[in-house]
Amino acid sequence: MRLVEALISALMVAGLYATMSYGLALIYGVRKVINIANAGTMTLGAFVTLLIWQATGLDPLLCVFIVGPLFFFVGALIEVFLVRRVAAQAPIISLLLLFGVLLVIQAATSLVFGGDVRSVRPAYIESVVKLGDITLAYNRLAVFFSGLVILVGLELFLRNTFLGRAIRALAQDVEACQLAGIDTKRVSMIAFGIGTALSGAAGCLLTLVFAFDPTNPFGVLQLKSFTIIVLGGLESVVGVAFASFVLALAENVTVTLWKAQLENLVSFVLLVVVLVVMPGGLAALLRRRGVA
Amino acid sequence: MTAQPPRLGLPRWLTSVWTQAALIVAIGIVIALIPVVQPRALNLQRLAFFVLWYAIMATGWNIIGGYAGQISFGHSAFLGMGAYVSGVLWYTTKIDPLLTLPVAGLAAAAYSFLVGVPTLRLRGPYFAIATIGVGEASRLFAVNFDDIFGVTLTKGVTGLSLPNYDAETVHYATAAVFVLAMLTTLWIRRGVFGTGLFAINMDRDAAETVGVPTARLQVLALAVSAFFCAMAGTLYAARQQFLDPASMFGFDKSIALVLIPLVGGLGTVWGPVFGALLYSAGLDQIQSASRNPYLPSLIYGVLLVVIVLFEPLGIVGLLGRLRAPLGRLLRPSEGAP
Amino acid sequence: MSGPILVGRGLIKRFGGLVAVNGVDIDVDEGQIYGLIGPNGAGKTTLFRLLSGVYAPTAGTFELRGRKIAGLSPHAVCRLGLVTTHQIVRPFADMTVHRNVLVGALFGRLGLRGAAAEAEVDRVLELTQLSAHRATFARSLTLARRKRLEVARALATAPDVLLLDEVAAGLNPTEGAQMVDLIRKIRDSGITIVMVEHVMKAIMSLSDRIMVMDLGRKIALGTADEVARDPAVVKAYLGERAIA
Repeated sequence: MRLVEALISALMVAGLYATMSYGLALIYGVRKVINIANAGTMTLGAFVTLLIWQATGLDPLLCVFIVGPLFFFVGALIEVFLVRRVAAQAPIISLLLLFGVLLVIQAATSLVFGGDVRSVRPAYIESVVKLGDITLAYNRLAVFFSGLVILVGLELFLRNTFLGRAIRALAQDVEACQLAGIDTKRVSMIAFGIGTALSGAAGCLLTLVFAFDPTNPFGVLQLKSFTIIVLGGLESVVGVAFASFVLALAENVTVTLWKAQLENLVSFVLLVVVLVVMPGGLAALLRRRGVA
Repeated sequence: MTAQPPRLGLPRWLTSVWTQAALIVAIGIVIALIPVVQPRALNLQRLAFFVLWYAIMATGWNIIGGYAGQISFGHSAFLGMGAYVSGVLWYTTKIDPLLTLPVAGLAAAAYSFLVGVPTLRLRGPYFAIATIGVGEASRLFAVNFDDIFGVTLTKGVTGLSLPNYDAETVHYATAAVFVLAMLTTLWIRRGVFGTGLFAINMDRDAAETVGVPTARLQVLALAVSAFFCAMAGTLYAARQQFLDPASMFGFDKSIALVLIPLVGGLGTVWGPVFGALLYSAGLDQIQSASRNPYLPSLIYGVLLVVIVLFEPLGIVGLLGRLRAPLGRLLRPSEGAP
Repeated sequence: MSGPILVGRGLIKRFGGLVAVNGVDIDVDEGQIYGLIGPNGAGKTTLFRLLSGVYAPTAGTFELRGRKIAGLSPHAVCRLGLVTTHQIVRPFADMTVHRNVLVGALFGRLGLRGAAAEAEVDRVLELTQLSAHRATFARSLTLARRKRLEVARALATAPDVLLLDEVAAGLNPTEGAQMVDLIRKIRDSGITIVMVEHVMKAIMSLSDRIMVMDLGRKIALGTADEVARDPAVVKAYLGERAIA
């Protein structure tokens, strides 16, 4: 029973982890740059959700439908006015640029909202769902299903629409895309927009689970999402979902069996182990098995 | 590209290695003399210490980040490592912290191997990602060290109070380490090692095919870099006599070490010094003027974006741009085409 | 012109299910120009990358002067005296021509230092007709000069064997002729050359021996004339109908 509980509780957390990491994988695919500003837009997403909730009492889950489209434009603007301008230079330059964006967003959020710890507490925050012997917090369940819906939606979009296929093609070969007449600039912009929208959505979901201030827990989550995309093979959406679960489970096991303070160390250890043992991440491992 | 050689068009005698080395030593001596000439200007001494302190670390960071082009977001790990190695040795065995400068440096260099060997041989952004983890993991490790090993050495989040130490002695030592760091970075920049690092920075595969042992050089560059950051940690321990994981292993320190070389001039010898001057002096000014802890961070973020977009060589690049019109002003006859 | 300097036996390279190089033997005599041709996807570039250490072979051995080099990293291979140029030129864009070549001299087989390194750079720049551009940044060179810089940087490592990957591709006839001249001069200085080339005229006129590859296998080996008359080669290049 303990095992089942651990698995389920890992699944719940994985929903949030995956949502905040999809965008990173998508953006890495088209621009080959780690969007280090991801934690920043997630912060912003959480605070916008807070504002909306305070003003109108709208449920954070529904805020996704406002924050998502809004942040699509934020991401598209970042791509057009910043990232695109340094695209021809070394990837490190884009990384530094996005790092600057992260600092600006976090500092601006602190200036506006102050450094206090905030939380969003809709009426159902204390509710639980009982499944036989297992008790599940309603908010975590909601976050998990949102993550699942986003995963399915994203996979359907990437596989079945022209734009989605263009994004996947761009991740594989820029030149071939240009030859095939795909407007790579437009596709990059849209992918960056979607990636940012996803981080904003992750910000909405996060407010249901964690208390937050302008830097916490975003800094920790940042590292976790990096671990997740490295583990997932940098570009694969399904890889991200799977890696999110692996990380959540590893953390869960560490906390239960060893020390709670070491929870955040898990992602780093996992990161190094992945880098050393299987540089291509889980996706490469699965691919290799599939071919051989 | 990250690492263009600055084209300042300075006269050859000024850019020769020997002149530059002499300049470094001269600056070191002048700064070292501050407590002798102005024994009561404690604020000035404090400012001088922190400018040098940041300059030492940023110079170290620049060797791996600027020369080799491998950006690290976790160099506070090496700073903290050095500070704690010397600090713990000091209060447990009473060894003078300044004597343990090289021990701290070597310990951090060894630590950097653990980080660098697996991550630096991989392509792409892996190193940068891993360093974020290294910084955070090191901090957590320092916080929980006593717990994990069942000892009382680092005293966790409470921090480590150390015995008193003469600030003037630390000042001289800091000036000496600064000179050592600057001479090292100059020697690397102008020598075979640096040429190899720049080649790696521009095209690692091409460098590898013409015989550059890319993995080894990068790991070595990281070790040198960690060495100087750790020595800065020791100096801090001796001067401030208090260490805690949040400030020594803090992400804000890692950020500062990215910002300073970038603002000053990435991959240049003097960039980290200009950057440290602006950062230390600027930080003090902004903080005391605004009383808002978030304003400096906002300004540095904006500065970072602007520099990356418009002047990748930072202050050094700006000086280079200024020099041409300045030269024309001084010698109008040469300005004619 | 002594015996073979470069000997490969049973070289195989697989990528997943695809076999790019399938059991190739290669013997290159010292002082020769050895040409490697074949239709697109024949496995020439993969074979090249095996030789230069970029890829480790799935199976097979490869020796330079009797020393095993298969599986060594490229910088180690370079230091043993085998160096390669890149098909798509990759100069260090923000270094001057001089510094680009200096990297080769400093880190190459001899690991030259100081004045000796500078002298070698001067010699190589002279040979490749780049002396006038020594202070130019590599990114602002014309394609023909960048190709020569690629060769110069490789030469500065003091190789016994130079692998040239399509150095004449994309050049106009005058520039192509200059490159052919340069390659001949390099051979005359005692360096063994293995080259892949699409420009048939260049490779046919230069090579002492030519290996023809198709679908990862060696299908012919001989002088330019012998190879050109070989029915298997004609078939591979022109397809079945040309024979019938």
